[in-house]
Amino acid sequence: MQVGGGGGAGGGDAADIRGRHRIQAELKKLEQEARFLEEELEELQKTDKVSSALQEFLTAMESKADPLLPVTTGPVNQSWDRWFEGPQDLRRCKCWFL
Amino acid sequence: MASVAGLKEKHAAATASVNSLRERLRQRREMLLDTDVARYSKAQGRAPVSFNSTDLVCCRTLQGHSGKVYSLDWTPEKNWIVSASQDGRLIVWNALTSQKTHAIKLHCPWVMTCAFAPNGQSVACGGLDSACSIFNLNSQVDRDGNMPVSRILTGHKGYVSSCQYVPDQETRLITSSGDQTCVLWDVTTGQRISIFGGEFPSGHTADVQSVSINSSNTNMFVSGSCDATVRLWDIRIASRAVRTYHGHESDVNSVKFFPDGHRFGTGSDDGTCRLFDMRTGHQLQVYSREPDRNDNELPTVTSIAFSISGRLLFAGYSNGDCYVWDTLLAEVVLNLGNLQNSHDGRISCLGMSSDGSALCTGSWDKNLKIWAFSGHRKIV
Repeated sequence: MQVGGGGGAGGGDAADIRGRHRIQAELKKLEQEARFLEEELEELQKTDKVSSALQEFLTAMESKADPLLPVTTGPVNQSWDRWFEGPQDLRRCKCWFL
Repeated sequence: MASVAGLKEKHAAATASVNSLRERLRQRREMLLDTDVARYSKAQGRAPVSFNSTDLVCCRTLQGHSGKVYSLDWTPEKNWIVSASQDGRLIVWNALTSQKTHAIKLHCPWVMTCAFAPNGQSVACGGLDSACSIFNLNSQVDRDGNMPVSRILTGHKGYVSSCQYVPDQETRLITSSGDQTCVLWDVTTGQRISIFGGEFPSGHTADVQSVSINSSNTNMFVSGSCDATVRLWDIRIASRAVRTYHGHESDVNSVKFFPDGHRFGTGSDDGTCRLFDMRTGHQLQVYSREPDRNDNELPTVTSIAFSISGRLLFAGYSNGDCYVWDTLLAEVVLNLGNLQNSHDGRISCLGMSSDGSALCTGSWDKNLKIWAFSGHRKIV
C-alpha cells in the first residue's frame, strides 16, 4: 500500500487519510458539477434566442392595469386612490406627513 | 488505494474540465443573446414612462422605530405592514391610518428580516440568532407587555438573511442563510422539510442573502447569494438547483420574481439590477447607473421591487437613491430619493402592496414611507 506525501510518524498517516478523504469528496463534487454543466450545455442547444420570447413579454406587461403608471390599461379600481382619501384633501395639501 | 498525489492530479483535471465547461456554456449563451429588452422595446416603438414631478408622492411616513429599518413586508389582503429594525423590534402598522397595531420586542435584537403570513395572523423574523421566530398576532401579551414567541425554527448554522411564507400556505416558510443554504420549514412542527444547498454540489458557495417565491408556481423559488449567482429551486427536489444564473459581478443582495412568474429581477453589490428569464436562463437586461461624475464608489443595490405590471422596477441604493427604472427601456424615470419628503438615509428594503397601488420603502433613517400615484391617470 502506497502512502503518498506525509511523514513516517503515526500522526502523519492519519492526516494523510483525512486529506485523501477530503480530496475524494471534492473530486466527487467536481465530477457531479461537470455532469450538471454538460446537461445544461445540451439543454442550451435546444434553447431559443432571447428575442423569441420578448413579444409575449411586452404584450403581457401592457395588458395588466398598473396603479402606479401615468398611462395604463384598465380596469381602474377605485381603491387605488384610498391613500389620498381622508379628512383632508391630500392632493392639494403638500403636507404628506401624517 | 489511490495515492494522495494521484488524487490531486485527478482533482486538478476535474477542475480544468469544469472550468472549460463553464466557459463553453458562457460562450454558447452569449451567442443566444441577440438582443435585450431595451433594444427590442425601442425597435417596437415603445416610449419611456414619463412622470410629472408630483405624480408619485410620499403619502405616509411611518415613524416609531428607534433604529435603522432593515426589512418590511405587506399583508396579502389588508393594508398592514410588518417592519424589523436595529432597535430589536418588529412593528405592525396599518399603513392606511399610520397606526401601530403591534410592537414586538425580540429576544435577539439583531434582526435582519421579517415576513407576514398569508392570512395576516402571524409574522416571522430572523437574524443573527440563526433562527426564525414566529409570533401569532392574536396572542395575549405577558405581564411585561411582551408578545410570546409561538415557535422558533432552529437549524441554520448561520444568520437568517431573508424569509418568506409560501403564498396561500400558512404553515410553510422558506429562509435563506449565511450558512449558504435555504430551508423549507413546517411552521406548525418547527421541522425542516428540505435543505437547499449545503452538502450538494449545486448549492450556493457563499452566504445566501435573499429568496423570492414564484407566486404563479409556488413550487419554485430563487435565491441570491454572495457567490454572485442566483439559483432556481424546485421545493420538491432539494438535491440540486434547477438552474444557476450568472452575470452579476458581486454579491446578489435582492431577488424578486417578476409579476408574470416567468422572469425575475436581481439587485447586487456590483451596482446593477438585472432581469433574467427563469426558464431559459438568459439575462434579458442589465440596469446600470451612470458612473458618478465625482468618481465616487458606485452605490450598491440593497433592495428591489416591481410594480404590479412589471413596467416599473424600483431599486434602493446604498447612497439613499431609490431609482424608478422603466423596465422595458432600461431608463431611470424618477428618483424617489430626490423627491420632496424623501428618506434621509439608505433605503434598505422595498415592498409593493398586493394591489400594486402603493410602494413602501424602509430606511436607515428609522422611518418607513408609503408612495402612491396622485396624478392624472390616462386609461388606454
